[in-house]
Amino acid sequence: MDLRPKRYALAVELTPYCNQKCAYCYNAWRDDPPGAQGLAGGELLRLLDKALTEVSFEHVTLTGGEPFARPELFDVLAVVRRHGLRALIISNGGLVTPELASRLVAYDPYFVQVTLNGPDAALHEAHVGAGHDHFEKTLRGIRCLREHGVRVSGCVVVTRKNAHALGDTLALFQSLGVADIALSRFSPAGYASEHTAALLPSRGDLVRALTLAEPYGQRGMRLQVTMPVPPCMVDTALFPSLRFSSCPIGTAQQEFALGPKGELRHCTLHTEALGSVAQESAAVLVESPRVAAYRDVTPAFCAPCAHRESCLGGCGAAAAAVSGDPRGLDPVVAQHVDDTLRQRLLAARGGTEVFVPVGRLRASRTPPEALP
Amino acid sequence: MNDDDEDRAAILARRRAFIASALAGVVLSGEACRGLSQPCLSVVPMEPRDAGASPTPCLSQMPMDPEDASVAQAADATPEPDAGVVTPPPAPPVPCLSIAAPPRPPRPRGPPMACLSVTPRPNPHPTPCLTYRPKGGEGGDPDTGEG
Repeated sequence: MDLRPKRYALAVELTPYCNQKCAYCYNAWRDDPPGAQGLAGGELLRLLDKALTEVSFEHVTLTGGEPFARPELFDVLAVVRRHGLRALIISNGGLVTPELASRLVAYDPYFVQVTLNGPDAALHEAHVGAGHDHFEKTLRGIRCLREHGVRVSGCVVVTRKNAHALGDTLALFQSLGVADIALSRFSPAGYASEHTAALLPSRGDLVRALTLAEPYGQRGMRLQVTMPVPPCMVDTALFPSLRFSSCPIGTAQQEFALGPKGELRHCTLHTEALGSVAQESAAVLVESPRVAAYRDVTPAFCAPCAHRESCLGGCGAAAAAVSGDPRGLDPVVAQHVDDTLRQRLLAARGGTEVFVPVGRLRASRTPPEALP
Repeated sequence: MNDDDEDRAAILARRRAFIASALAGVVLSGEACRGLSQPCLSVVPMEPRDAGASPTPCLSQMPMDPEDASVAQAADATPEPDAGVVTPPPAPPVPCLSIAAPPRPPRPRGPPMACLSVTPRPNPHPTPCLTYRPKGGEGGDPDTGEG
């Protein structure tokens, strides 16, 4: 009998380094000094092994930064395999080489999820940084993985810049032979909160994007809206071919994050550390009262709503970064119903004001939370 | 009415409908109730908290702070909801960043083992080679869509 707590997934942030500079990057530590290199190889493997020994996860998600930039990637995959698990890898695909793809086959990952944010270089690189040929490198990476028999899924971060082009982006994925797509509506958590004004899609943008996606779903593409879209924003019944989801924190579907300092967090978007895996049992951390209590508090706006308990008011990590209230209303909704936020965004878009994410600013002025 | 006003009105109208559902104690869910043998009001399953959590007041909420005033004002100023708004079923909780990995197959029942030790598993763990079962979906290859 396996008495360990069972949880859905552990997302391991392998390295803070990334070859792209995505404006939508949710990593709070994105702008940390270059010296911040994440866990040393041996320590990373030890903590991963410890976490997988103490908690029964269903799978491991490898993310970053860019996972293919981590020299110990295959050692990490070996640890995952030793625990009888498989990994899925979130990547921009730009560092994939035939050698890496070939080695990856033996570890049988569920898939490598690669993001494209537009059907052409201009729109994609408007999100991930221009001048480095990222679009072509990502296309090459997808083709290379598929040629070696590695499964590829796709991702589009839906923003106010690219929502209108979602149909063409899905057509590009289709032409690449990629049929499972995460529609990750932009969530201004962590570093991304600095780009709220430029990227946060309105309800209208989202409805437009979902309307463009629906026919692809009807033709067999498997489309999953992976970031929560509160039901007050969109009538999901209008999009029967798309799968919608809600925040999994505090449920059996939670995907905990193991960060670059060995800290365990609610998820990759949240900055708050539950504790250090080096110093505490991962089993104790995943069962901590702070995890269980997460679903007890919802924004005042949502308190009387029938969907309060499943929706939670959207993404709490985004609320924390933008408003400074970790259990505030997701900015994707608040932009329409909170007059203060609405005015600040309008001013930033009009060029009369810089949008300052209050929570992120506060966090940057506060010493990092000491790990126990 | 510009786009922004339309978005605001649509959100507040849907919210009003959901509040009305909550107050009526019934969630009318055309989609949710079809073919599912579970109450429409059930929330997302939570483990292991549900087992031992003590009851909490259903409407407990965070105190409203001054910043929320505009929210309340906006909500109160909303016209009555469109009678056609149907409360959708709650979306299942899913990690935000990736599509769901296929569920692991159930492990075969093995011989009795010590409860407190971690049993080494076969390496690699046996899994079906050709089926890809996206959560809630049927088997198939993720790239080709073929089963």
